[in-house]
Amino acid sequence: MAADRLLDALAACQAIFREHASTRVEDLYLERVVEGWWRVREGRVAERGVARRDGVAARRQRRLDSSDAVDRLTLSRLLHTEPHHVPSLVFPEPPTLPDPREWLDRLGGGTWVLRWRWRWAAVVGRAAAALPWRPELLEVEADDGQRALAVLPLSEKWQPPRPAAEGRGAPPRGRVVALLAPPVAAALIHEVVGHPLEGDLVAAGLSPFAGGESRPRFAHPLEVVDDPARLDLPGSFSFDDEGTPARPRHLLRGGDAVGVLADRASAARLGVPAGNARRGGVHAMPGPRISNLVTRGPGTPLEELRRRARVEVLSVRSAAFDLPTATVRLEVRSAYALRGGEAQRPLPSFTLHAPLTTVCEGLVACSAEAEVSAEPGWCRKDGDAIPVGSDTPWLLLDGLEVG
Amino acid sequence: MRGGLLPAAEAALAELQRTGLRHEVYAREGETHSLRWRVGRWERCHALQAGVACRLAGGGTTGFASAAGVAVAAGREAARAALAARYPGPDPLPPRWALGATSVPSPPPAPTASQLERFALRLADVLSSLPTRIDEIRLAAGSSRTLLVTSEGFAASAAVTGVVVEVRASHHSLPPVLIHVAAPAVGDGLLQRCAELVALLGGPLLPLSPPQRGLHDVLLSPVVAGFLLQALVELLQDGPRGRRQVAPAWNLADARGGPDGLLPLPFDGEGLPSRRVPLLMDGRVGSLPLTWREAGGDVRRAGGAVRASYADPPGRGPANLVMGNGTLTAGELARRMDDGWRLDSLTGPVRVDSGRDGLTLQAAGVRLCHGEAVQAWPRVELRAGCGRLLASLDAAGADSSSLSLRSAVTTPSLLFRQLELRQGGQ
Repeated sequence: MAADRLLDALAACQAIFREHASTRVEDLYLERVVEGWWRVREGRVAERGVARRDGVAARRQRRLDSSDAVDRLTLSRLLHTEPHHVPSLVFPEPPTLPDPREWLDRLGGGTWVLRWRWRWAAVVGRAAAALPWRPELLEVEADDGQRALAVLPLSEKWQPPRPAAEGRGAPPRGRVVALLAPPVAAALIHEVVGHPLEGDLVAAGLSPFAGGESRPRFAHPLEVVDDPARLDLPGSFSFDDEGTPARPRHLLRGGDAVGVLADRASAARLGVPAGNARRGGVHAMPGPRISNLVTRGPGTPLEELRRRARVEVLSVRSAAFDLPTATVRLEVRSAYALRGGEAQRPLPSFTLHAPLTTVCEGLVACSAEAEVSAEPGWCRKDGDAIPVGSDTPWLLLDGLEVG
Repeated sequence: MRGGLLPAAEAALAELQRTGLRHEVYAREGETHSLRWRVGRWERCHALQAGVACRLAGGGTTGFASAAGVAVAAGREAARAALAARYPGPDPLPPRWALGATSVPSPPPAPTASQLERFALRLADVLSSLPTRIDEIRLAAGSSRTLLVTSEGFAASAAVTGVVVEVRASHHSLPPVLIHVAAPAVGDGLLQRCAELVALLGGPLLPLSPPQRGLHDVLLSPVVAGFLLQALVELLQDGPRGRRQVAPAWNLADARGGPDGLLPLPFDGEGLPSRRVPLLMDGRVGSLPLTWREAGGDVRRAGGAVRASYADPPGRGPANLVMGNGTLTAGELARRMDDGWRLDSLTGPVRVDSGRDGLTLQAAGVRLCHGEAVQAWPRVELRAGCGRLLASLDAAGADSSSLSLRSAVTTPSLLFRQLELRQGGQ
């Protein structure tokens, strides 16, 4: 009954801006987010809290009006109508705050911060309305700041972030052949494939992949798909934040850029399908963003990749792609020196960087097996953070520069 | 803004008073108008962010919860959720005797949407006349009101306003740089400051050559210095304790109660009266203020609580960083370097590496010999450990400017001796 009443209320909102063209509302976005957090010391909860945010935003052409709390006065202001014309909205009740004991058992002792997040949303457009599904998320932050984001319930393979081994000796120098573990490979693919293929950048001519015949091409025939329908990954959704149904989008096929992540505006400009609009919350304008990147390619046994590499990179502190110089930069947190496929010593932290063209030419092989990993976790663009996921093989990359 | 904070606060208090537990109700209402120009078009946003948070303690338990909105229902919801979220733990709430408010200057009226719009158009007009390519202009004008009430009868309110302008601009085919200026209000001063900073980019094109990797004298403009100070304080908070060598030129304080700085506030995030906290002064590192709980109930060490939003519990951090002015102009500081690099504008984020107790930043750099610009490089990377930064500050300028980062930062140009530079842009 409550669900029916809510749907009726959403339809009434839609009728207001459909029937009154002067409101010029393109869509109405409503959201309830509940976040719980626990500070854990030596396996025991030392602090906890819960925050509930309700919000609503109305979008007109290149204008966003948003508000925390959803009451008749707010809605009437956003819809440019009288409060008595506006229906009363009652959002769905969130689940009760979970009991963290099951997670604590898997963490063992130590100091952690756990963050649980449940999100409900509705997108009411002129033509249709959608209630996008998003997964319940758990983020675990270790004492050293390392974070892991995962979908609930946790899979059996899930592991909390572990401290990096203490590095010994000097970091490598010059150009290296690096074997990137799935979390690092995921961060790299996110930066060099995902971001440059976001529709706003492509439409503005800022993407290196917008260069027609001269656009970069990966030497290894990688397949990269942005897949919001992978429900086991943090970036999944059933409808995007403009109400377009989710569907997988091929970004690379045979190493060639073949797709673009598009919201409605960039889809119209580029002549591609929409469905990739995302927003961090009601106060952010939706834009074309990555969901979950699934990477595959003709595989080589991992042992052989190890034999060919000089450095095995297991985790990064951060990864960034600098658009003006088309350069990727990985801040390595944990890595090992390799010789003949054997790990020699843990390395102190260092930076790897390379131009996109070098990455494309130097990405020479990948493993047959792929893994779901906690990286990249949260993706921040223009200050707006959204959850993203990955399923990536090990990548062998020649030409990354240490420095 | 509309409505006021009282309905939510009163509803939460009414709900919590019945329990007999010690409690605190914190309500905040903020309004932001923002404008963004890119790809030849303006984008406009208007956001109302409001909510109420409750903390409570008693019977060996404590709880925290928040809810969006400032209506009666929000207050009630936050109070009930805080009661439901109770867990065994020590009382984190400061006692009534520790609470209070410091007198701070009243903030100027917040600019209206149309005032910000007019300012944005004037700014765009001024910038378009400069020989620089403007990639993006962002303006945000915000105001917020806070109300804090406790079960023991303490009640105080605070208000702040501010304007932030960010410009991403580039000269010739060089990579874009970020210019960031914050001020209490829009006005000619802010317009002129933005125009000056963008005009700096548009000087004669110098021979492009990277800095030789090694130690150089470095002059940081207020924009770069502001980001560096924010990162430095983060390192000081998390870094190793113990005696450190601090150059006498340092005069950095968390001026929470003003009168200097961008955002003076009468009380901290827990209701302790604001005071000026020396952080780097008289050749030593001062103690960074803590939350009441972290300070173990020592009022001399507490008073450092900040709340990022109504939904966040109090955590420690600076609120209104102010680096004292020196006596020299930026030009005089530049001439003081025989041979060194001036870093004017950031070209990427500042990276803090707590593990290595250091930071890295990339900025557009100009090499100066006896004050004369002789060479430039669009991305110069500065790497410095906390210890070296503390020891190597030679002088501060007299050209203070404010930034709105995680906290407010106000700083003049800073001249450091012998910091590590290398070619960036990689």
